[in-house]
Amino acid sequence: MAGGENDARLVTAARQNRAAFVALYRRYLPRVYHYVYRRVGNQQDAEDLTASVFIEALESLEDYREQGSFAGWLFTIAHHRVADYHRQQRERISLEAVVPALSNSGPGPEALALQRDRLERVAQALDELTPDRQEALTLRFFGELSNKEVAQVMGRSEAAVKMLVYRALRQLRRRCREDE
Amino acid sequence: MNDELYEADELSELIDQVVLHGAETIGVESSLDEETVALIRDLRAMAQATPMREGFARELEERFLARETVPASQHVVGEAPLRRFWDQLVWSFSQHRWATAAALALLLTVTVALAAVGPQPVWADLQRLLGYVPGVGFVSLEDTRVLTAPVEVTRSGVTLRVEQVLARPDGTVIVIHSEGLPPEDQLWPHGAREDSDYQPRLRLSDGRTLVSESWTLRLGAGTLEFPSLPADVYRVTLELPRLPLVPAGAAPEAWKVPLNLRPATGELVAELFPQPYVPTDASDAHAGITMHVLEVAHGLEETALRLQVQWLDSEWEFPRIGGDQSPVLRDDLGHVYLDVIPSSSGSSVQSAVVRIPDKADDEVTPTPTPMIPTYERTLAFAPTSPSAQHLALWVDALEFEVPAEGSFTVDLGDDPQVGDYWPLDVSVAVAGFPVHIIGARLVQEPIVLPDGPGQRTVLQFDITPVPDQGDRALRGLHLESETAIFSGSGSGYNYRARIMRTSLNLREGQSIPLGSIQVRAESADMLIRGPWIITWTVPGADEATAAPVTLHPTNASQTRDGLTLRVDEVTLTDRLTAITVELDNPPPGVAFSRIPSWNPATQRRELYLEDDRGHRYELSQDVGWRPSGSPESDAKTLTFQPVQPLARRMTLHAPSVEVTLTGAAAFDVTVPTGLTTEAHPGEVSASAPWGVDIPVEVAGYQLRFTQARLEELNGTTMLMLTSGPFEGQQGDRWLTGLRMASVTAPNGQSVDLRSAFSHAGPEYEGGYGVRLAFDVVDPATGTVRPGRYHVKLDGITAAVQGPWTLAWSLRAP
Repeated sequence: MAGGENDARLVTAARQNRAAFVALYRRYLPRVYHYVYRRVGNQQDAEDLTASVFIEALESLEDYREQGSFAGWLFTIAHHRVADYHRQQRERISLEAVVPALSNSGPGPEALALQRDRLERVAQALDELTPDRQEALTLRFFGELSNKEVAQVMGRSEAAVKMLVYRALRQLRRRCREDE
Repeated sequence: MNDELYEADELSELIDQVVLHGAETIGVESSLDEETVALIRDLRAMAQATPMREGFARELEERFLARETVPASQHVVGEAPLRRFWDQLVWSFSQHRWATAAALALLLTVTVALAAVGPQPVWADLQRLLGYVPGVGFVSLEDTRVLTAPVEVTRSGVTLRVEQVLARPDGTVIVIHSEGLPPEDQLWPHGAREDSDYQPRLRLSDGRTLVSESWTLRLGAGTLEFPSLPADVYRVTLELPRLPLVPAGAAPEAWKVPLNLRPATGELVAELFPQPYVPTDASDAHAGITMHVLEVAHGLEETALRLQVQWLDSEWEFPRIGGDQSPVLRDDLGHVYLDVIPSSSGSSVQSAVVRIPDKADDEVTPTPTPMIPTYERTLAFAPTSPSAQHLALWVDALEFEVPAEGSFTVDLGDDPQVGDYWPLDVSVAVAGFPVHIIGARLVQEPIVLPDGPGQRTVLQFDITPVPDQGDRALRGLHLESETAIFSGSGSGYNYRARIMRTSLNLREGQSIPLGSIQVRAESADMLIRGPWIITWTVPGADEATAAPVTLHPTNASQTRDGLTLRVDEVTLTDRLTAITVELDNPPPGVAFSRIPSWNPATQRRELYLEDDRGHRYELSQDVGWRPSGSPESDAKTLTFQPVQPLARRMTLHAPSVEVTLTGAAAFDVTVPTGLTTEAHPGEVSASAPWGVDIPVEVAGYQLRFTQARLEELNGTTMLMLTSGPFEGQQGDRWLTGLRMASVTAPNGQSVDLRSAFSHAGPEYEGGYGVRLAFDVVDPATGTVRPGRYHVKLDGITAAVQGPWTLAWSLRAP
């Protein structure tokens, strides 16, 4: 998932021919959307912000210097867009929205109900993390970024991100255990 | 602190496995606790379950293309065929808007590739895929230089190995691996950081260097991508400032690995890589949809195949292979191989438009060519047995997004409020299915705010179950309103109760609209049932290779709590060990249910196989055993990893055996009228609970249901009964659930029990508890049916705690 093939080549192509940007868009849309959705918690704003992230990326392609990964650069834009959004509005996180999609995933109703309960507990615990831990986990799992890319987005060292994720998961585990 | 660093690194590796590489299973060697592993899986599941509105992706894509201002002629590199290609793209937009996503995907992919690498390699890729390279995918190996063997450099006990190099006309890919790195705590001492200037290079013999364009790195491994090498270059040196993801100063640095490449001749490719083959007559057609296995490659890590799907209706889009069930691969020995995440990046979805030549010599016709919507995808399965001579790909169903027509009006009146319900009697035809909408209700869904719960309002429509039409079934309906007050539509399907729901979401900050609103069906999800069974012969399969060996051990049994569990049959293959157990002469009223993997006392997973050399075999994750060809797995047969050749004696360790015990009990429970479910942050949507007092005595267990409430589960509304604490353990027997024989609704009809379930265990508050739930939605109206329900129980399930230890010899008697 991470990296992907020939991002740099696609960026070069997209600079010459904007229609080529669609390939990058298709590659990263789900990851960016999942990340943004998790951070804003509703479909409408997630769509608007996701659109603005890609439009800004398209407009700024000339500014992209091929240091680090394209994914890291793209998610840096997303990170800033989400931060702007939270400055303007109250944060909203939807738990319910996470769960309905599970209804098509196949397990029986009992397993589904248990899974749903568990995920809701995890979602709630995730909301209670400190902002930087929450952001690191969201970028890692919803944005599907490597530690290195998360470090690029958050302006931290990779070692710091690794510890951030580790401690976030430890706190999450503790919190979930308390809920049980 | 060192422990923390060590764990942090291990955790990081694990997350990379799951998130970056899509691993479904987690290595057993991980020392991380199960809770953490489960948490990682949960976070992954949450991310993957994030809903994205149908249509959003393409709408946004349209916006990008609308922003395109460069004249079309500048996109094309001059050749007439390419111009036609671009013209076709423009034609596609203008004539069909988004004619088919399938067509567009290929057109855009080709456009991108043309801009990047020119036309010829692209056509070559599309027309001929000549090799399967694990870690890279199905690729053209024409005009490619490769490494004939991995190259290793070892310094201070650390080894960097270049596994493979593919120097292709459109770029160079290098797969690297490292071993012997210092322990994690030494690698990441406090304050260590990796600089962001990681810049792998390829140095040519004349001193020129190529800089890596992109890379995918894991600790100890990575894939590096460089521009294409000049045509005459066969000797290069890979220069790495550091090993992947290793901080400065922690391990040897400034690595240089000389690499000698050779042209990838047919002979060399055959020697180095799994050779793809084109199976003969590997296609199956059903319901106007043809599936064709174009190419197959058998690797050590996976069996990959390229599947093509073609259908007739160009308005059907976004095929989802498998529908509710993932496709599986079966062989003639009895193995069932489950799909796995491919190691390669060549698994990306491609879609194409295929021209139908109307002349034998395939001349290009001047008129627009007819097109067949075509979709191609690389599927990967667990590696197949070398002994298999015939393979069959089973695809149970396909799901398409299809256009929907029909509109209706809902009059919300002049003072609509959340909780209001408007009876409707609207019939619309959706993709040929009669859809009967019987009501609309305004409900609120939860939104959690940092300072407390919030709400989102949706207009939810109740739909009566839509009957299937032959092999077609409606799975979802997506609505649209002309008023901008609503934004997007949600749709869910309970595939057991066959109830579909759909809703319009009120846009954030908008107030509930007054009066009539026009609602239009936008699209529907349609399932086409198969199965498509595509069979082929594996070329060169060796008939003399090991066939499965079946044993019937004697004396491999154990008796506990009046039950005798016996190993009836053991089958050894090169891919798995299948063990079939039997319950010998169970007492009257007792029957085998399954072998749970968990211990009811400790709740730990303790089911495994062990040999006399102390080697432990875990349950097989990706290969099943169904020699009878039955689609369902047999609860009596457990499959483990294949037994090692030197093993002479095996022991099955089972923490418990679940049995059913007959018994009889019955009770009534009343669902009050006027109940509504409400969303509660962090919980399932549910009604307010009400107290009940329902004693139940069945199969020797005494319990009492004390609480009831309605819960929204799996797309329907269920009555959930919860017991008070009771003694769920009797000796070695632990109650695991109640068995419902029947539930009679207030109108005398039988309730469909496919959604019903019961679960007992020690995890509930206050000790051991049991829950029992069944569907209370009237299938005729789609609404909750209040009144008295009569529940009949015919027994229980109970786990008989072990340890169960069954041993047998592998030697011939």
